[in-house]
Amino acid sequence: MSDSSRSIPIGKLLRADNSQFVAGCRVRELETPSFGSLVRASLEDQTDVYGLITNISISDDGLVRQLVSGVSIPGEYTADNRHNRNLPVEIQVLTVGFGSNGRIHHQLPPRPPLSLDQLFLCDSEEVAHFTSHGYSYLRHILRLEDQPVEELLTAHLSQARRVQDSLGNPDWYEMVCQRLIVLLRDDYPRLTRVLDALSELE
Amino acid sequence: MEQRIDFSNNNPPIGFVTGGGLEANLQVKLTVPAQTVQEGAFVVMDSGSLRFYGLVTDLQLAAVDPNYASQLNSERFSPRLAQYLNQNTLYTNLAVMPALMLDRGPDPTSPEYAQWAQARPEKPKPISVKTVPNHHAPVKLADSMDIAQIFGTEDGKTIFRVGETREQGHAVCLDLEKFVQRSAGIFGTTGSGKSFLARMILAGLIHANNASTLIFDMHNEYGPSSTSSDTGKPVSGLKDQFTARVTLVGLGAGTSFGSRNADFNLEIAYKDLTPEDILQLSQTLNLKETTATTLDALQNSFGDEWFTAFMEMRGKATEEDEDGKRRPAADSVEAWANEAGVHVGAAEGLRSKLSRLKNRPYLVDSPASNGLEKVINHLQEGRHVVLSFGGFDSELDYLLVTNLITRKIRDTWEAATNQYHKDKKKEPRPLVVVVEEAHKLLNREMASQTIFSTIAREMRKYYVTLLIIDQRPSQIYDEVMSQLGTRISGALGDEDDINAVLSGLAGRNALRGMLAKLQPKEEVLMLGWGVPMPIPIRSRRYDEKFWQEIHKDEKPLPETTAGFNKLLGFGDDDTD
Amino acid sequence: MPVNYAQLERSQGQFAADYAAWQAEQAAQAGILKSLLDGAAANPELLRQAIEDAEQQLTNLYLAKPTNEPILTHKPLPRAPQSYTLIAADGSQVVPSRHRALQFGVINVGLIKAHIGSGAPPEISVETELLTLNQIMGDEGTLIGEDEVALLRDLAERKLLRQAVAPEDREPVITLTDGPLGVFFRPSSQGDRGHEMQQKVQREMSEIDEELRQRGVVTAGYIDKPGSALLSHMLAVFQCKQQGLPLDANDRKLSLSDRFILQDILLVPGERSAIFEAITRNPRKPANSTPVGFFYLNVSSEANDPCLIRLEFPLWVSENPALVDILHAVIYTEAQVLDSHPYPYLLHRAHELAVVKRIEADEIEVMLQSQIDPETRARQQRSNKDYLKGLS
Repeated sequence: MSDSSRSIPIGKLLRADNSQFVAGCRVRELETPSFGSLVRASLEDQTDVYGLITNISISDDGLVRQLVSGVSIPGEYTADNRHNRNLPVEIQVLTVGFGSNGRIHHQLPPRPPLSLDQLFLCDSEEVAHFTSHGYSYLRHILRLEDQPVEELLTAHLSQARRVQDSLGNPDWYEMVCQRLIVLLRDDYPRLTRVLDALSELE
Repeated sequence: MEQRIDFSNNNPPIGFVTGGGLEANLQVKLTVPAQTVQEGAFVVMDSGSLRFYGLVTDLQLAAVDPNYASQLNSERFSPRLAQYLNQNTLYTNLAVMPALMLDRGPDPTSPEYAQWAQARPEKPKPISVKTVPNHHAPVKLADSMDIAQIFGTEDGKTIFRVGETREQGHAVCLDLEKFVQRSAGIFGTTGSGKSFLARMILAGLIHANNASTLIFDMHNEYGPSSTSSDTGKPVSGLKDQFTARVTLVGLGAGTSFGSRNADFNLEIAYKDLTPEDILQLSQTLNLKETTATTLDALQNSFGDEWFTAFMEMRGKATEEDEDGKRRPAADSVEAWANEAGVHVGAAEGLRSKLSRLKNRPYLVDSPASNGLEKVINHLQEGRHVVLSFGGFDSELDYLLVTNLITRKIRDTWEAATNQYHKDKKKEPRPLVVVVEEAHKLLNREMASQTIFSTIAREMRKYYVTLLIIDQRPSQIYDEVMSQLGTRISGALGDEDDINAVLSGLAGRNALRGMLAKLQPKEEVLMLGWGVPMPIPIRSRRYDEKFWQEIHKDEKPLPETTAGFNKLLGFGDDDTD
Repeated sequence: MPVNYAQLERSQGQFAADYAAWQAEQAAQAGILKSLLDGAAANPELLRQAIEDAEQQLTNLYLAKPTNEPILTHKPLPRAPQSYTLIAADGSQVVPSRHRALQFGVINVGLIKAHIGSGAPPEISVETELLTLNQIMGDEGTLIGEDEVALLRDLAERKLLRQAVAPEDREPVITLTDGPLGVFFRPSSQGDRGHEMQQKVQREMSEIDEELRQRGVVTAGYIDKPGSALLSHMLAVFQCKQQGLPLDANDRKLSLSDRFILQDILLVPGERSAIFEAITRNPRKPANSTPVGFFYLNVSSEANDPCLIRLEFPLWVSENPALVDILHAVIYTEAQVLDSHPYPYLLHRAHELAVVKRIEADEIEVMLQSQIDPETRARQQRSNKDYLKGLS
């Protein structure tokens, strides 16, 4: 599944390795991607690499720092910085699987995406397709060390649940909760943090 | 034709084996709600071609991490998440005592099965467990086939249904053949339903008729019918139910049982008393150490008539002699004592104490008929005798009569056995002597003296075994307890009593808790030699239905004596 | 290779002393100029006469000429309009270099147009012009120099500004560039071709200026840290007149940057000086250039800590006091956006848009080379000297 006309392009690849990749986009493109969204980068050989947005970071540069310390900035110049200047917005993505020949795999892809590969936001159909294949991709999320795993899970599951519910699969969310509990039950502090976060979804 | 045993057991699995071993019980993780399994549940575990049979002896609550258990998850998380969390982190462990195992062979539908079956023409039998099931072996509640495999199927004869499993109500049977091969015991605190249990077992024994029974019915509970003090309902007596087979004997002339008369009354002749009988009463009569010597001398002097002679002596009687001096009368105790070389005071003391016996109405110089002989004959013929004590329910009476009669019977059986060994003609009929309040007869102090401990120790050398019924097994000499085969026990509260019931059985500590928690009047634990594996059961009710079931297999009573004899298992030989 | 700090240490003492002496000298000069300023303010007629004489007599002229505002005027900051259009442009260039394998020239102009009061982000554009071979190659085979390229760049900036002005723009419309408005005749613009180019550029610029004047657009040139001595020279002429000397006699002596004179006058943030006309005359300069006016402006935000800049604009603007006020307020506001280091925000952005990085220049070279037939390409080479310089 590459380049569906419904998919929204949200940036281009800057750098990547096997388990994660970073795309850059302009500030004005920032309306659509959100933390925890499922995204897709298409490789040349028609493989799609799927990931979850784990971080969106906006850098500053010398001029922005100067402006920030100023007394007042006209609205037009704030808009200038957001829309005209190439302030890099970086979207950090955690790889959670790949698709090849229409089949979804929840393992890490054999090769990472390349520079300037286009990054797309997955639409409901793609989210459903990816998440209906099982829950083993959760282990990639649980492997993260220095990132807010609980928040990521909540954001992602909130999206996935909405999609699955609308397809008439309320069981999906039940199963994923159970699976998380089974995966994390030996790590009491971690599991309780995750469940605390998920409880807010209920 | 050999029927292939069905090992299918379609019960759903309740858990799987996670650890443990032969010594310390197997650990099983429960996969169903804990409340569906009880302590004492009979379970099977399949591993490879082996089926293991075991008993649940403990249930322990556990958790993947103690924090999940120590807090209410529903307070912290949403109800749905809390539910999943509990399901996946809280569980129950079972401790299962493995008892037996059996080799089922390969899958019956597979080609290897025929070959395997051919090599083993006899039915596979369960043997005591020697190995362990694998990790994750599935555990299921035993089904009726499993129970039947182990305990047998009711056959209206010697495989007698005593109750059913607590969790699923499958029939559990007792093999009465094995039951009578050793002395056995029925225990339970007062009010635990011990008497009803005993009645039921006795009914089974009488019905199976593979042995004769002599029942010392101290409280008139077994022979005649009565009314239950608890429910007010009538309780059928053995005599009423088995009129032809059971002989109801009353101790002493004139003893009767309400509306029913005894079949005959028993009087004991003085000459039946032996020094052993007297010595057993040492404590009761507070006899001195010198008693044995005195008795010996009496026997030497007077032989069988010693008691009569002793009682006819006059105590402290003097007369004048030729010189006008006072001297002991010729018929005085003193005179004899001097002559026999026995201490006078001891003899006089003994005589005064023994006069208590003389006063017993059932002890007579010349009884109307030879009751004792009649009892023995009935037993030899294959009937069952219930000796009811009537109003003579003191300890003295009980001790004296039971010992005396039993001794006589055993001597008879010993002689018959020895004869049989010589000429192999007539094998003695097995006999079970049923005694209540066994702790009075078999306590440590008395143990060496009573005939009962001898019988218990002999273990059916002479075809005689005991069935003791008691509420204080801890008072019974532990050497005797440890020799018991089958033990059937209702609820016991005292720790010593529990230990006593388990005495002599290796590795049965797991059953302690079970014994303490049996439901009074409803549940009993069967264990010991004669029972393939320990099992708690809901005992069979001794009621109308019970008797209907017992009698439905019976053919109608014969009309003729010959037919009667045949019924009792004797051919054309003469009876009494 | 590392610098010989030991040697430097030996020389630095003398240098410091010389510098201090020079600063003292400057201070002295400043003092003289300040009293001259007071004198000129007190005697405007004499000053006027002196300047008139100078205009008549001297061929090279470089001084400030007062307008109708008294020369000591310091005007406070007026209110800025709610809406206006501000357009800034800046240019950057790649000068043909004989060290490169391929000789080419590029002029890159960045333009940013803000509709202040609309809330909308400014419009930006970048125009990149590849100079024709004719433009960069002279008859004798010499390459065009840096100054000439700069001239072309200045023109390109002005053209782009003119193009950017649209009829629907909110008035007033102000354009802003960095540096003086007039075509700056650099010494290296030598020879006939150089001269010819200057004339041509000047003509085109004047046309643009006129068009913009007709449309009412104010073109402004922003000079940061101004070094010009226009006022000083005016006072020198005044002094000569006073002393009865020839009018160009004191030029050298009093050639001090004007800001030294004014920084004691423009103490309040946002104050501007009087408007002067910039009189610059030399033989090379054509006579039809647009007259330029200017004032000095204190863009600092702190009192008593002046930071003076010089703002140039067409002289016709000074005839419209309201427009002057608007210009005054807008420029100050704009510089205050970056208030810790005041400079017009849009000019900075225009510069940012215009800058050509070295790596970009290299990429352009590669791009051009790929268009040229490989055989020809093989005969070109980067100079070895330059190549080696490029090693890190």
